[in-house]
Amino acid sequence: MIRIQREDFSVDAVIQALKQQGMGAIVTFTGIARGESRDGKPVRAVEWDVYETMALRAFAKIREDSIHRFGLIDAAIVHRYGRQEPGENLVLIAAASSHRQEAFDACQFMMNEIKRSAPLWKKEILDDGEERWIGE
Amino acid sequence: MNIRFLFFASIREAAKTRELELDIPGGNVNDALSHLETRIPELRRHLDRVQIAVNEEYSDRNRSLREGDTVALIPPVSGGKS
Repeated sequence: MIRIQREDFSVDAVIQALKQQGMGAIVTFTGIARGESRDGKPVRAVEWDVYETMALRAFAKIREDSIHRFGLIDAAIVHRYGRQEPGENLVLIAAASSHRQEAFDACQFMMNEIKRSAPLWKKEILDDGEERWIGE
Repeated sequence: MNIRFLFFASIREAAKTRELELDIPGGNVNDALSHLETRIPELRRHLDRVQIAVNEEYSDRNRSLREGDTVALIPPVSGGKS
């Protein structure tokens, strides 16, 4: 499952969609909008820009690479775009396998690869009105 | 030939648009960027720090362009934080 969407997602629904016979573990990672910036300033909201078609291709490749690399049975990546306030869901990674260790490792791998290579950009909107793109 | 440019994040804000089509005489990505910067001078100071994707594949700037190609200006991604 690969999705880029504006609306919120349900972690439970993604887990249910992944479940199949032979699985012994589903590890999920949920990224949440932080209420504080790296330098300690209060954040009012974050906004994501995305090159959607290219990001979907990047997600598909990351998912397939992780399935092969860690011997997963299935994997899911769901990423939101648009605007989120602190506490809202941003991204969900799920790795399903026979045993837990490879699922933990695959979650870490997928999240790192998304942050390294997927064309998604996060802007922080601070309480004082300042806006800044992160990573640029 | 017609080239479609796509802009994201800070580049979109500098360009004040998400996309732009330009009719240029031909050449490679560098040539196309020169035409683009003539059209939108606000992009000049950003061009050194962007990666280029042609038709959704990362590409170097010597790549020759064809009629109808889509050239995306990709600023550094948000990477490696949380």
